[in-house]
Amino acid sequence: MADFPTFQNIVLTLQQYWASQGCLIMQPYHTEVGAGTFNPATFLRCLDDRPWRAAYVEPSIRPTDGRYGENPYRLSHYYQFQVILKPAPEDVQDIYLNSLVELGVDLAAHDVRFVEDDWEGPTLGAWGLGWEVWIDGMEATQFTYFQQVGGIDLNPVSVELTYGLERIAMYLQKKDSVFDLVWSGGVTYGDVYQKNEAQWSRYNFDVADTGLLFSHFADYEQECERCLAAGLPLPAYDYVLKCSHAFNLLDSRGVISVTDRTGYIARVRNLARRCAEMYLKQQQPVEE
Amino acid sequence: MTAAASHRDFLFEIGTEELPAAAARSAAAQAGPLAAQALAKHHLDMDRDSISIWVTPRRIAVYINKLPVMQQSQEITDRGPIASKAFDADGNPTRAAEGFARAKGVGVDELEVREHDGQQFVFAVSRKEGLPATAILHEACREILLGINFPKTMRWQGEGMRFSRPVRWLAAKFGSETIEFEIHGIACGGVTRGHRFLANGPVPIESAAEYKESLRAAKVIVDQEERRGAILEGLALEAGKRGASFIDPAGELEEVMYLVEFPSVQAGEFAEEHLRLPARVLTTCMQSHQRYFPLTAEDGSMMAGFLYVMNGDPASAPEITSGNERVLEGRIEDAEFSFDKDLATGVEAMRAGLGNVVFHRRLGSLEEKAVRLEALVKVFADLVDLCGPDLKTAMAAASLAKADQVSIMVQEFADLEGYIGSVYARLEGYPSDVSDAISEQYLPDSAGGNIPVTVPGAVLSIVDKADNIMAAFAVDEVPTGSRDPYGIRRAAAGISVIATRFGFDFDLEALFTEAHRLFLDQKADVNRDAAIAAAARDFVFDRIQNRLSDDGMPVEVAEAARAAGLGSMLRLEMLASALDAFRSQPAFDDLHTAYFRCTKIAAKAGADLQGATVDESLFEEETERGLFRTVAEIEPEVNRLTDSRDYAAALAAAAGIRPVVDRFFDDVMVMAEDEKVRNNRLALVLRAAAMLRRLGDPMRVAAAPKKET
Repeated sequence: MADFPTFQNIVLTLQQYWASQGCLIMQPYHTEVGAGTFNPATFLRCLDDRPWRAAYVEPSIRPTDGRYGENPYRLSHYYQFQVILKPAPEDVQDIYLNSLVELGVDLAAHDVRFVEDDWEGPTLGAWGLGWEVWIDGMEATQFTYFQQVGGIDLNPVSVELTYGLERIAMYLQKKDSVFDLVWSGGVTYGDVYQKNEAQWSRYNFDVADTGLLFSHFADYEQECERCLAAGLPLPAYDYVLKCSHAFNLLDSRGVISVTDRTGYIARVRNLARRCAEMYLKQQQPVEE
Repeated sequence: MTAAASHRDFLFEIGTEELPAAAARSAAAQAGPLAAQALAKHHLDMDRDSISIWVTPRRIAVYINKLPVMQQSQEITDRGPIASKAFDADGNPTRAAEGFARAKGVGVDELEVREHDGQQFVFAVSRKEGLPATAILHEACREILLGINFPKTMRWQGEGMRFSRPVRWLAAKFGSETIEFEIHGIACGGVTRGHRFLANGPVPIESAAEYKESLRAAKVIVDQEERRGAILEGLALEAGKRGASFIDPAGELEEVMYLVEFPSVQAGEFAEEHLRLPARVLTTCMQSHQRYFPLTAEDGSMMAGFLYVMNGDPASAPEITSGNERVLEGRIEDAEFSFDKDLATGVEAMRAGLGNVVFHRRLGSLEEKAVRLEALVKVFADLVDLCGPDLKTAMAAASLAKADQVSIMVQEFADLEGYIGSVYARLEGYPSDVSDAISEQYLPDSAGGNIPVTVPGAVLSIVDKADNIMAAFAVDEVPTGSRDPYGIRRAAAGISVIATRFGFDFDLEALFTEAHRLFLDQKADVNRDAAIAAAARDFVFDRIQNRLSDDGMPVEVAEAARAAGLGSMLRLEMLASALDAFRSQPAFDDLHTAYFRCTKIAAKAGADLQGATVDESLFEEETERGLFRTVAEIEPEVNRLTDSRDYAAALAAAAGIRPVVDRFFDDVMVMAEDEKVRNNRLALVLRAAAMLRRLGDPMRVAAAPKKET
């Protein structure tokens, strides 16, 4: 028996721990997202003033980050463990640090640091201040006090914790390649995903039909508008996510120029903002 | 118990979640003046030198050695009616005086008569006895805490306070007495916290004076300067053990000292095989993000090791170091992966791919940029008479200069642009002078930073910057306020420094005109107004003026030099320096007086003499002819001297006109009855003034503050 947690045990431990902290343990969202922040369990749920605690694994789809499965540190598809806590507890740093203890990190025997990192999600009209949490120089978690989401100032402030599961596993298992991670028993991360990385990199960089994607982007945008017109911010928001993913694919195909980029991001942000506004409006009690 | 002391030490600590290094540094600079201001406001007198400010990532502490236990008592005066209205002829108080005394709550017999603005008024004077400091220190603390400003702040509890990061505790001690209060729900007490991991938990502060040592026992070195010293000492020691030197080109020490509370310097290694990577790639892997300090051997070559500053328990160093080594190994391997991919692609293929990268929406791709750079090198070579191998090298470098913009390395580490392109060119066998020029194209990359050392590098750097500046003007995106998205202020400053250092004497507007024409030739969607070339030149001249004034030259002197209407940056700067030196010499007074007398009378006359010429046949007096002759003699001499850029001598020669000007004004009645004679005399003095003004505006020079001698 190895003396390190398997990849799946890391997930299970975090779920267990955050469940004990009163989080709803949720599941990944059903469409591609670039980060757990995009999941409505974070994006929409942090807008209103009702308490909310949730934790979930989110596959993060980042087409441009793929390296054909050849680079031991880069993936176009990886996992985040996302925690959202509203309102931000006063001792949230300690609560977070205890999760590392649960994962087997002896805090006094390591060099754990909170290193400034201001987070901004331009497509979501969101920003916050916080840190990257380092363990012995390794970036383990993004720790952010959300200030604004969907262009809306948040009150109360939510805290978002995003664990990079592969990095943490590589650290805990002392592996030099993500593909060597022990998922469970005799199965490695590479057994599960190396081929995926190779194929998806080919698709993302070389194969994806850009004409189709451009028209998808426009269609999704239009469908989002229709949903908003029908007063349905939840379906509308799904189309924001689809727009965002189409944009990411076009970006990895290299067909979006630097200046066009800003325009596309603004279009997605605009839709996200309107979904957020409508969602929030529908949360207010209807006046008799 | 001893007699009550008149002074005690004071401590106020703001406990925070981890502050960004820049915020900590900024707080360290602000807290002292804020404390001095707050305490002065509350009449607690102390010496500015008795304030110490200590800042770590988790705390901002104000410590005052000897603060009075009592506020100074104050005299409070209120001015009432004028004395003559307050007392009648017999000296009895009037109703006005009684009413005033009543309103101020003093007896009418306590009113005092004092002078105010030269008149006698009655005053209600009362004395406010000083309160004990303990009764008011919480107010001072509040003012310090709320007075600290950060460029970026956050909320963490609804509408509560804003700070760089959440404030989690406050502590204040006056001697051994705790100052208790509350701000935005955060209680202030007498307890601090130790190192987050090595001495976690509350640390009671027995007295203000014991604060520093109590924290030391709790593994916190609270004084940033002590931490800096310890880190520097550790770096030197660990490097020395390895026969190495540590380097810190990115200046990470200033960051690192604010990232740790309990620093110790540790050493790590990486695989020797990575030394095949270019030095700056390795340095970037170590410094950017990780903030490690690379090690170099005696000959300056990289060693396969690094130093880092740990915040953990030195007893756990081996485990912590191996973690850091693994992270670095990963970063280097990742860079190596990109490097090898780029090498496999090759510089030519990258160059061919520039058409796919947009330079600016309205200005086409980097391919067009590369074409313009080559053309501009030729234009520039003509302007400064550059030919031979330097021109050939600059042309070759211009063609390849932007190739690395499509490399993976530059996408990953933008700071390596230029450098990595030069490495790739060299590895592919391009001549080293070509690769050197490529690597120098972005210099200087900071104010006062290094500039190119090779002529082709200087040429490439100038034309690249000229193209960028012209681009901003051509698409009407000139910097406003703090917005300078294309960094053209820095480009403008850089251009002038390089021109001056290399002695490039050329008409800047001509370069911009050609740069503008290239955009038009490429059918770019740009502002077609030819005047933007002059606007771009003025923009650069503004930067020169700013730089000279930053270097201590009065802004009036730089402005005076600009008034000469020179087209060359080199000349502008040389004239400004010459004027600055000349203005403290007695001869400057001659120049100034001569110019002043000539221009004053012309201004007074208000005559429109544009294009007026001097007609010798209208001269009536010998002194008129004398001035005319003198101007005709001095002018070619001044021109000769300015042509050879000997502005000091030119100024001295021009100042020589003074006696003749004086004699002219003594003898000649300029404002003669006869209009023709009068206008001829005015034209003569204006001609003299115009000659002097080609060496700058003496009136602006005279307006500059005098030099201290």
